[in-house]
Amino acid sequence: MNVVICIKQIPDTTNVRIDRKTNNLVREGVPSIINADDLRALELGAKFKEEFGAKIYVITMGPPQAKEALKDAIAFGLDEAILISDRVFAGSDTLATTYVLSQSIKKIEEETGHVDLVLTGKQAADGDTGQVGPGIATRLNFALGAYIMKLDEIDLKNQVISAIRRLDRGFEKVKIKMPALLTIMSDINEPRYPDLPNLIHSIKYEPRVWNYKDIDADSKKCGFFGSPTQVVRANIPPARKGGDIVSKNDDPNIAADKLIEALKKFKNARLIETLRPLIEGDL
Amino acid sequence: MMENKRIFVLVEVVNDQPHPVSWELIGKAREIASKLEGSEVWGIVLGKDRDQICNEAIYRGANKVLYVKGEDLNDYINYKYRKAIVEMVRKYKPWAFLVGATLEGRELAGTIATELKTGLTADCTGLDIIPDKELLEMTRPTFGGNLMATIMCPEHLPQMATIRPGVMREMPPDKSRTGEIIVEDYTLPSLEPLIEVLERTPVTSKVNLQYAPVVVSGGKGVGGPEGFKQLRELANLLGGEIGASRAAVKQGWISDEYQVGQTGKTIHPVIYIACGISGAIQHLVGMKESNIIIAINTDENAPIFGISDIGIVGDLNKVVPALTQKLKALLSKPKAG
Amino acid sequence: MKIEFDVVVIGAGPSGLSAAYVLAKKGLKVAVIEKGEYPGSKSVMGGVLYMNPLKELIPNVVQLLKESKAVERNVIEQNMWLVNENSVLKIGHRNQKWKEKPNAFTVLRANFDRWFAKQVEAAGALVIPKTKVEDFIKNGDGKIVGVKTTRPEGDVYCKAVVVSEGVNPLLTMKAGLRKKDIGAKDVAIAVKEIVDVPEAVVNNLFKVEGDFGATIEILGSWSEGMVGIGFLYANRDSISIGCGVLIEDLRRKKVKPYELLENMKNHPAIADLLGDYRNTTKEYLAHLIPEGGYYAMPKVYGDRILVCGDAAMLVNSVHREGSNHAITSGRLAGETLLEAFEKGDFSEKTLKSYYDRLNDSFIIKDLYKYKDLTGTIEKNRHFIEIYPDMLNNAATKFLDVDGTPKGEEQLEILKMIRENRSLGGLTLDALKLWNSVR
Ligand SMILES: Cc1cc2nc3c(=O)[nH]c(=O)nc-3n(C[C@H](O)[C@H](O)[C@H](O)COP(=O)(O)OP(=O)(O)OC[C@H]3O[C@@H](n4cnc5c(N)ncnc54)[C@H](O)[C@@H]3O)c2cc1C
Ligand SMILES: Cc1cc2nc3c(=O)[nH]c(=O)nc-3n(C[C@H](O)[C@H](O)[C@H](O)COP(=O)(O)OP(=O)(O)OC[C@H]3O[C@@H](n4cnc5c(N)ncnc54)[C@H](O)[C@@H]3O)c2cc1C
Ligand SMILES: Nc1ncnc2c1ncn2[C@@H]1O[C@H](COP(=O)(O)O)[C@@H](O)[C@H]1O
Repeated sequence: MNVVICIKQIPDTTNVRIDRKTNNLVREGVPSIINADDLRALELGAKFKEEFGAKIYVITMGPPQAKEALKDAIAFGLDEAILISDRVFAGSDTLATTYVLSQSIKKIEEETGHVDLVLTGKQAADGDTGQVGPGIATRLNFALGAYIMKLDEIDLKNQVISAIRRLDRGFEKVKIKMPALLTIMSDINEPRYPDLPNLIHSIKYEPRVWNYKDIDADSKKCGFFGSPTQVVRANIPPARKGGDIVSKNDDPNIAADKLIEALKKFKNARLIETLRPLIEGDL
Repeated sequence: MMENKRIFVLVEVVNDQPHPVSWELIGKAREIASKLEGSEVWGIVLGKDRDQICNEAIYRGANKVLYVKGEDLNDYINYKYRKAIVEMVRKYKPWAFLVGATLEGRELAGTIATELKTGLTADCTGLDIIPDKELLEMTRPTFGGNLMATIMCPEHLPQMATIRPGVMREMPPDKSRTGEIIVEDYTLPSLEPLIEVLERTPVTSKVNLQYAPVVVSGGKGVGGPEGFKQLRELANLLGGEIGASRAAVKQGWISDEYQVGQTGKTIHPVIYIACGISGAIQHLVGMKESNIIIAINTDENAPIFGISDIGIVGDLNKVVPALTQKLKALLSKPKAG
Repeated sequence: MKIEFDVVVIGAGPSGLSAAYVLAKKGLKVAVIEKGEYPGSKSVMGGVLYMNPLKELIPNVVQLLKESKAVERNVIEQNMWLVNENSVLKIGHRNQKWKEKPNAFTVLRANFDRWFAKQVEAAGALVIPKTKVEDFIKNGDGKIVGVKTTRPEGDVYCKAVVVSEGVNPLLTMKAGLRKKDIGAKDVAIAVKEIVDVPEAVVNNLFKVEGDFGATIEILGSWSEGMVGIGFLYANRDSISIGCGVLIEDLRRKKVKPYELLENMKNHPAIADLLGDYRNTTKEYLAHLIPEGGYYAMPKVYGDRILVCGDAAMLVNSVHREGSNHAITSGRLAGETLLEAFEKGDFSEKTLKSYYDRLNDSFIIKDLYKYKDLTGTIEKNRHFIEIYPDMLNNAATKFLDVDGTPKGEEQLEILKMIRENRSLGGLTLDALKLWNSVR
């Protein structure tokens, strides 16, 4: 079984600060980390290797410093890491990103004969789009199993994966045909703390680097020029302001009444099914 | 371009019921259409026996409804929906295509946009028209809500966006509205079954923080594991989940699966009720994007009041049970005036 | 798989990296194990790095550093401000020579340590981050044969260990080289902020240009009588501002370190200089500095083990020379081990020569010279409390045009000084004071 895991290096968004004077996002000094969902995908890859002797490839499209993320990935005990990096990739939106990544996966397919499984995170915490996984699956014409939170079985003989995925409406127990692309939710497992031999191996490991020619990409479909969407501007949202204190040391029953009265003014509360009679009744 | 600019809105159906986000999007699309000459709003409904929903889409403000009628389309299965919708888009050439940013919606929109090779702006919280460009202006939070990006898709059609539930205003249904319902009888070509759904279960899992519409969260002020019971009761009443600050988790009053914040979960429920939580920055980063924040705290200077929409200064041990009782009484009453 | 190195270095601070550099250069197999995310990720330093010790290690270091982004500014001017409630006396020294031959740079440790670690890796050592050493592995005879880390399969075997763990000497204690933990009177706490200031404004505030920088040391009323020193260092487009005080003093006065820093930032002299830039804090750090000096030193050598840098307490009292002592001690530890490897003998007897080297170097001489300094300052609180005040009063009297005839004014100053100390003594004291804090 050959598996490709797509990971993304992102700034630690919980550490992103805003310079209120210049209204800029201060990224300097903000540590780069591997996207949390992707770490779970790596853990899954490590388990596949242990269980089935799967061969695991890790790829990322990003600037040269994204190599660090790949080295960290190798510390999970995985086989190979490839950095997909080229100036023509700069400014890629999701459509261009899925193009570059799917070309890279095809290239791995060429090298190895077949790719049975692609794993991505459900969503990257910087862009928050969650589109890359579905996009790659579409381009490769792989079965798409999005939002996987539990893997029950991988039946290599029949080429089917049994899994549970999460949707807004509930859970779906599904059978997915291989080759497949799964997007991984962070509840699926806890990423390991790599052991020292693997860590040392990863420090010494040098990822391969592929440019747009290496993956037979059409440069017009990459980067800024290959991206249908354009960012017009980016603003720092105003800090959330506190509203009223509606009750101060009242009798609890009065406090509760005041709270409910105040809540009725928030139309969004009707999104809560149980509250709907209350809110609509008063509209 | 003199032809009509069609704004498609996918009407998402869950368990034969329309998802509220669909009406919110039709409402928003109407607002946009009013600023854009020669445009109209189309609701897209898939499945069978959906006439009722088609009508409601009109009452909610759609000019037209495209009813893609097919046996195979009753349940959402990505590859089937993708196939049918892509064909419809190719046939009717919409100018824009809006989908609710539910998990299903985001998966579907991602695959459709890729197949159509057009741009998709995910999880928007703002939509407008760029006046002299006649383009959609789509605004969305990135970097965990630290940055709002405004995005356009100038050269590809349709301009696609998924939009977060709960941020757009729906229009109240109006039965006097009329509109054409275009029925497309659709038979899915025989496709290789890529995914098969064996079983669907509604959400009842143990810890449901990330998807709960209401989170009743407790901190150090809760005082002990016992105290979380009253929070649980309120959460259950509202169909929500409980959460916790790290201080409460560290005390061992509740397991760390419930922790909200920098080292816990980042959530944006419709209502977040912070009980006995001071509002440390590490906590706030995990919940400040909630739609409505309610804070109950004995200390009127607690920083949590700096971001809460509704503040109650008082003892949670008294206010929470009172609130639960009141709500119970109110909600069990038949819907009167 | 048994993981083996010739030498394991614990901690990738300046001292550990120096030791590793020396050893790796000579082809030994060295691992530097660092618990932080990367070298320097957790370290704090006020930010002045002297070049001499580094030059002895890497001869062309100044050139290399200039080409890198690892250092901030070349310090060509040093100032001492003596402050009382509402006035300040400024003493400064600017040296053209330093423009050509840099004496010191301001640095941000996260950048410098990472750069230094890269040099060490280039020399052939392996730097292993995100891994904490927990204990030693000992053989049947109780001899150290390796270290245990927090990682699964995390044992690392080696012939010798360099302990460069910084101010918190847990492993030094585990090795039995230090009997008890350092006491409150042996440590100062330093708090520091980095405030964002545009490059042009830094130039303007410190009256420097290009890559040149300046430093200001601040003594006086802000510390409320506690033994402490404040500082302002010019970085490229930020300023390091901080202060260090003895923990015991803080306890006694029940003041929190950051309150003290606020206090200092709000002194009129600093408020005037920085204006609103005081509040553009982008990083806030707190760290301990060992101040015990000579008397607090552990035994720095043993069978197969050497201790260097802060872990060996090689820091001058209320002083900003820690990293240079760390670098020198690391180099000496490395050189000692090279000799040991030549002999094939890592016993305590051979390694004792590390202590002799330290003795011959300026480090211990320095430490010895100042061994009573913290004590001295404590006993003579006039260093902190009276002098700044007195000198400022003198200056006020001298410069204020209040109608008093000049002759009388000077008489008054003289009287004032005579009442407190002799004029000569005063000047000398002022210089001594400066010397002791810089
Ligand atoms: C690196 C790091 C990561 C962290 N990550 C997280 C994280 O992910 N999540 C998180 O929550 N914290 C996190 N913290 C901890 C955070 O800084 C705070 O310590 C924590 O959030 C405080 O929890 P609290 O508000 O429950 O407790 P406190 O700050 O002690 O506040 C208790 C509040 O309860 C009120 N109160 C007391 N009794 C009552 C009563 N009877 N009725 C009503 N109100 C009452 C008090 O007035 C007070 O405001 C992190 C800290 C660090 C350093
Ligand atoms: C506020 C402040 C201002 C200062 N200003 C100056 C100045 O201007 N100029 C100057 O020269 N000096 C200054 N110093 C002193 C200087 O920072 C130190 O003397 C110097 O960093 C000591 O180097 P070191 O290598 O001994 O220790 P450190 O730099 O403390 O390095 C020790 C390393 O070991 C790691 N470590 C510890 N335990 C373990 C373990 N068990 N396993 C793995 N890794 C471990 C730590 O993470 C750390 O990276 C200042 C100090 C402070 C606090
Ligand atoms: N540049 C990239 N390189 C590799 N994988 C990526 C990249 N961007 C996104 N991904 C993968 O796609 C997932 C979802 O990202 P997104 O659609 O941007 O939210 C991530 O968790 C990654 O697994």
